[in-house]
Amino acid sequence: MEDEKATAKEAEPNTDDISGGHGSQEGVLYLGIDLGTSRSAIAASNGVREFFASVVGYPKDLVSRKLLKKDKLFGDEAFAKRLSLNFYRPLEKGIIKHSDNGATHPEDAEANLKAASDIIQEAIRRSKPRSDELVYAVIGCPAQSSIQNKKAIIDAARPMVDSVMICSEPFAVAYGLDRLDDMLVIDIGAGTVDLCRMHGTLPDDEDQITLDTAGDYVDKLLYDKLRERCSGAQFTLNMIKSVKERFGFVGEAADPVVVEFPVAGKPTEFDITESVRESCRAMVPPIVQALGDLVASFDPEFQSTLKNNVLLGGGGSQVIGLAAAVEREMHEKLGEGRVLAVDEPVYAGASGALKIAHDMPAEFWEQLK
Amino acid sequence: MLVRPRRDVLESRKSSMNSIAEKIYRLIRERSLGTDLTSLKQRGVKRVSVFKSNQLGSLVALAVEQVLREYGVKLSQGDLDNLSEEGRRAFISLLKERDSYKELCENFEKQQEKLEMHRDVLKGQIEREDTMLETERGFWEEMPVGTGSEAYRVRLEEVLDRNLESRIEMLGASPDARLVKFLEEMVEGLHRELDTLFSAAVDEMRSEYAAEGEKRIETLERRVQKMRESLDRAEDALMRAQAAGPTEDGIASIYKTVQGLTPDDEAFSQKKGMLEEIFQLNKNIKDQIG
Ligand SMILES: Nc1ncnc2c1ncn2[C@@H]1O[C@H](COP(=O)(O)OP(=O)(O)OP(=O)(O)O)[C@@H](O)[C@H]1O
Repeated sequence: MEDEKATAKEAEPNTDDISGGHGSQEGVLYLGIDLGTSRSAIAASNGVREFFASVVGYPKDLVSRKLLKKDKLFGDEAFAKRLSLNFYRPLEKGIIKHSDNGATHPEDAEANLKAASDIIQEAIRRSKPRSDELVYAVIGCPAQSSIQNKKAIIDAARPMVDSVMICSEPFAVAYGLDRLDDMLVIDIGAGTVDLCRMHGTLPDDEDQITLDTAGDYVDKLLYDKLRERCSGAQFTLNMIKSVKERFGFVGEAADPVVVEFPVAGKPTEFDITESVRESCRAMVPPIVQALGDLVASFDPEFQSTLKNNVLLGGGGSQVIGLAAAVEREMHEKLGEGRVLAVDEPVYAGASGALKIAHDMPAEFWEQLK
Repeated sequence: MLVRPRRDVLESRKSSMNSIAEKIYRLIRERSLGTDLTSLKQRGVKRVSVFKSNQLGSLVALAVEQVLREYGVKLSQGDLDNLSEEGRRAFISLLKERDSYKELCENFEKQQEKLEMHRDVLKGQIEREDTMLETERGFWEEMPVGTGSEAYRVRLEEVLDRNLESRIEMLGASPDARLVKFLEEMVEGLHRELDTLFSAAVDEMRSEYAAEGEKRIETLERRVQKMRESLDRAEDALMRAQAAGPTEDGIASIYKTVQGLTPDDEAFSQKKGMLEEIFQLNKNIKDQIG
């Protein structure tokens, strides 16, 4: 931040008055950040809430830089201009690529680390902190991420905040919703489905299961089905992802899903209702199987309570009818179950992290400065 | 007669007020709609209902009163008035802040326009200088050095040849072959001399011109280079200004002081334990980072 301010002063003509000024004022800005594989969300105590795809691009050469007029592009903007960019999606299955095997891929590790740092810093920048405020941030990251990975995240945030902590992502969701006792949180992301058992203390390894039958898996499944069933149609995996995000459902279809794909250059309509239903539904059995495992290893007295307190979140939970489908499958396989979908899946993690930041006692922040 | 709550109870209520304030703030924020006149016009909206700030003030006062009632907090009329007054002041200061933010945005836009103009002027200048440079280069490359002297040389050679012919004619019908050969060799020698002399003269002229041309082109090239550097700086400044945005000074948090869990929070001791654990985990990481 200091650097940015210093360089802005060199501008011609004089740009000193760009910063305006509100006079001196103090305050504490709390930030909750959900650093996701496919998108990152931020919620701040100044009311800012934002999310963007967790991608960053750097202009390939001087000409692109001049054309794009930026050193770094994030989110959708980076996707749109990706051909003129060195493009990074630095997180994979929730962790920074190569952060655990940096010794074998030093260059990739460094590039991905830089990209992840830039994404974290962009998230903080988008929260519009004021220079005269204390900034305290809690960053939610996957429960299973390694110590190297956690260090990398803290290092990236540190230059822009006064104090920073990280916490497990599913825990943040539960904390945000005040559901800390005897409940199961399912977070369906792009790369992973994280299941976490809450029982009044911080969850540990035994309380968590990670599956890879998440959003990306559904996209690939649907892509393969359509390749087989829509002969001659041209589409990319990215197009299929958008189709899923728009029409994804399980159970009864409200309307048939009809899309247009070009066939030999000519837009042609295809009814893909069944393919969409089957692909989305593929997430259900592994989730219920994992729920069963988490329930079975829990105190028998509270197993029923656990099954009847399942919280469904994450971007992937927006598939229409998913909570009901998981509930039905739980009844079939586990005898009972009650599943509640969180209201705002995109912000549930960030809002929870914000709440943790708010509740964290002052002396803890002080000690981590 | 009202029973005054204890100081610590008051403190804890104050913090729950913060979360009430946060809720109200969020509600208003989520339900308010940002738009401008042009887009309203495009949507065919001709009339909109607006709140006056004093109406909004009384709405906030009403909401606060209602929430206090729900929470079972009983306050005297004086306290209520103070609270409303405080709320009103906070609201006005928010309005002021919004105005100064608007001003900041306008300033920023003006600055950006200035920078863009500066960049465009520079671009125009560079284009003009580039054209001049090209013309100049062309001029010096195609400079007709020696063209005039070449014609002069041809004329001299013709004179020499004609002279030789008339001299041979003057020697009569059967001239001495040796004399004719001598004359011819002499004229040939003169031709060669002439060639050498002329090309030396042309070369000398050419190099004089070339030195002058190079100097001119060098000066022009330096000028263009300087302008390009200026343009680079202008574009960098513009880029930085765009990246910094008008929000360099940010949006104020709703908290003026550090918060933290309070004893009246639901599940206080459970949450306290969990927060401590999170802190401890982070402390361990920090210790390992060193
Ligand atoms: N409306 C929607 N319907 C169905 N799926 C959706 C919808 N919107 C987003 N998704 C899917 O949600 C997934 C991303 O979810 P989310 O943003 O929670 O993931 P993440 O936190 O980035 O990933 P991870 O938890 O693996 O790190 C993607 O697979 C995306 O396609």
